[in-house]
Amino acid sequence: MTENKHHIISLKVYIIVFFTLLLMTALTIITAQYNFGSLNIILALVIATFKSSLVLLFFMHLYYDNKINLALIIGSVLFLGTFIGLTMIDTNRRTDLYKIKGEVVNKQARIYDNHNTNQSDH
Amino acid sequence: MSNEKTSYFQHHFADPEQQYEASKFGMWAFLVTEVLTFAGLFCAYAIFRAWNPEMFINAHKALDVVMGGTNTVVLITSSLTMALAIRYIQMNNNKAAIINLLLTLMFAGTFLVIKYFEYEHKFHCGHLPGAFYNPLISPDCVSIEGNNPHVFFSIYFMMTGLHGIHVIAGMALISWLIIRTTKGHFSPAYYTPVELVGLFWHLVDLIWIFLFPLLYLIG
Repeated sequence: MTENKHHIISLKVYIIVFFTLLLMTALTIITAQYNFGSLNIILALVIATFKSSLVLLFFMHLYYDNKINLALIIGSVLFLGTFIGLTMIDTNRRTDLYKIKGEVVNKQARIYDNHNTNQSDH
Repeated sequence: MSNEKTSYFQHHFADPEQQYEASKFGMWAFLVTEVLTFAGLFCAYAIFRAWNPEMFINAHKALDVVMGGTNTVVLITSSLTMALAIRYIQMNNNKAAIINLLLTLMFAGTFLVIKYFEYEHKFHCGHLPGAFYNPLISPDCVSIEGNNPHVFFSIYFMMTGLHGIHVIAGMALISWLIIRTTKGHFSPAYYTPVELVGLFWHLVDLIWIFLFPLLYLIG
């Protein structure tokens, strides 16, 4: 059994990726100290996406791997985007129908309990 | 002897390589379900932040950026040592692999200790989820302006809590790897469990990479 087909990533690549990740962490903390308005969240997410791509491609070996695994994880990101994207379209337009922004949420809110008390009220 | 050497090989696969690829594909499928589990929480985060933008900015000041940032560095370092452990097993250097696995376990423990101090402070200040939210007026506690701060802490505790459970699960798996590596179960020809636990551990790091800016660095 002299099977050694798997790619062994060089120490240099790991170290470069590691320091890039640390640098990006510093960058995201530094940029958070300044206010760029609505760009804040976009900048934070771009940096986080870049960092996670590095982790996926090198620490998780996707760059060298069978591309079916890459397809799987990209698929999950697409579903995540659809899920949050469509929900946000709904969430953001609800204010057209009724006031919901900043409305007080009952601290004791428990949906099942409320349901029961509503029934007993009648 | 040859039987013992290939004892990991299961008869329903064509060859060990196919077995390895199939295991890894299965692990990635599991990681997809993990991403989608957290997607529910990220979605809740997006909805409540859209409805309470000012409160989120005020409430995030109750979180400690230094502790959160330290934990980010700790997790990234643990990801490196995990990746190096796999590399050393691929190079048939079990001793270096065990050292790196122990380091990974140690960093995971460090993460949880820091997390404990963060949680401890939240409990002290009454910055707790939902009905348990009961802010303490004290100079060492941030007072939060705006409606619904309890919602922020519901989201904070659910997201970091589920992530913390994953860290504990990862620690259990890494301990199991250390025992098996010590017993000499792994070689360059067979190290699938190390590879798969490695993938899981990197996912835990990956989720934290998003949690950190979204919770600690809102601006």
